Amino acid sequence: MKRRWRFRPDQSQRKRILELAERYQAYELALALMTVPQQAPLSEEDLVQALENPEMRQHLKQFLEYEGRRKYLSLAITIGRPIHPCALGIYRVYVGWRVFKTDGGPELLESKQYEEIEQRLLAQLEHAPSLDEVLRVVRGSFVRELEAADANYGGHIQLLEEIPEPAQELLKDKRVRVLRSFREIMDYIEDHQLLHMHSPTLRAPYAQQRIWRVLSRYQAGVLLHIEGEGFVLISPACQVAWSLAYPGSNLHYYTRRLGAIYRNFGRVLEELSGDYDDPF
Amino acid sequence: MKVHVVGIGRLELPEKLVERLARVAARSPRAAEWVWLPLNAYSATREDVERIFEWMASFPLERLRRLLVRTPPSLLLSVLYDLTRNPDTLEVYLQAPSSVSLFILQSLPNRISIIKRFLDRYGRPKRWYFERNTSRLQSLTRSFGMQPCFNLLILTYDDFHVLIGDRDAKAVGHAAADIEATLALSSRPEPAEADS
Repeated sequence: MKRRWRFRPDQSQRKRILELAERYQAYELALALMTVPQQAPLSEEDLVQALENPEMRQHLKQFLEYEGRRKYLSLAITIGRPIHPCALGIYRVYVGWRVFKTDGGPELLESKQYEEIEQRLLAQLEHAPSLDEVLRVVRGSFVRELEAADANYGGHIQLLEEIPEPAQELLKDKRVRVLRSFREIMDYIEDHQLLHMHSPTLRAPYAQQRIWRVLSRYQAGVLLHIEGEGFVLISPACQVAWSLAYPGSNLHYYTRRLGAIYRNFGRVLEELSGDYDDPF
Repeated sequence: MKVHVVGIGRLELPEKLVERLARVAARSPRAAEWVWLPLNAYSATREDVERIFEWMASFPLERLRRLLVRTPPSLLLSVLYDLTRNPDTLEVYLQAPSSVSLFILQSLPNRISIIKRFLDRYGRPKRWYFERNTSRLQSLTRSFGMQPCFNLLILTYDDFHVLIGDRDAKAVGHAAADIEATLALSSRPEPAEADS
């Protein structure tokens, strides 16, 4: 096992910490600092500064609630700004140990660079992304994926405009819309749904294989939007090649039913003609 | 500040106890580390545990420290539960060396008041010894005419020994008869405290 250096205050430091705790009525912080081995050394000025600020004191008390993060308490005090304990873990991994490691010598230059990085990272950590920003990112990735799919399959596979006959029976109660391109899918996804959906893994190897296998016979497919349920890409023979469901619903039902219709169709053909080979 | 007690949940520690624990930790940090561990309360209920914490908070500081130092965190609540129920127990538990105190508490619970009487009358013995060798235990009880027992505590004073078994006790050595007479050792077996 890898042994790490942990910092424990010695007797005189413990006395000093206790004095400060008495002055600022922050006994639980003192208790934590004395009993939990810390991952970074702590200077007295930092401690006094943190304890003087009531907001920071409150933050540090909440900090103790996080079970895995108590050992970073002194690090949090050293930073001196209220940062979320989980963000502090990231901070420690990328910056903290380097900053504490260096003290002059050949590593000084490196430490200067890291200090710069540290400041930047701190600024980012303090600013949690808003919902809009997250949405923008997710929407962007969806759009990129779908446009890539259009570009991929555009030349090879034609998207038809009519619902194939065997599927009409199954979909007659639903409100169904035929889409011209993958990009159009984004018009029917709302923001609150977007964050809970799986990504449209159109470019994943298995999805590509399946789409190609199902659609290659006719070199054509139909992209359907079933309202309230999701999106399905089916071949003219009604086998499902790809689907994307809205959160809380799934399309396995269609996969089974449409596939079943196709299989039955094949069996009927076989019975009628006595000569039918399964294309797949 | 909250402590996790298994089967009960997270309990708030009294402010005063937190303060006390910080003071204890300044002297010996190991003694206060149980605060971060999940504690096992065994049969004690939520009210019992809360009462135990209150009781700890009202404790003199040095005693609290000694108590915490000698008690393993895994047994902390069960030991404290025993101590709150009987005031004699605390004296004996703290005066005995840490190597036997837990044994006394767990295997001779109904002899504790006898030990307490010895401590009051003759002071701390020179040596506390818990006999664990079965054959030696048998030969000891047989040669001194005691009833057979599983646990035997031997207190050694300057000129006499006291053997305390599960069911009876015996003084050996100079003026043994006087000791037995004054403390009424073998004539009247101690009533089991578990019943009362």
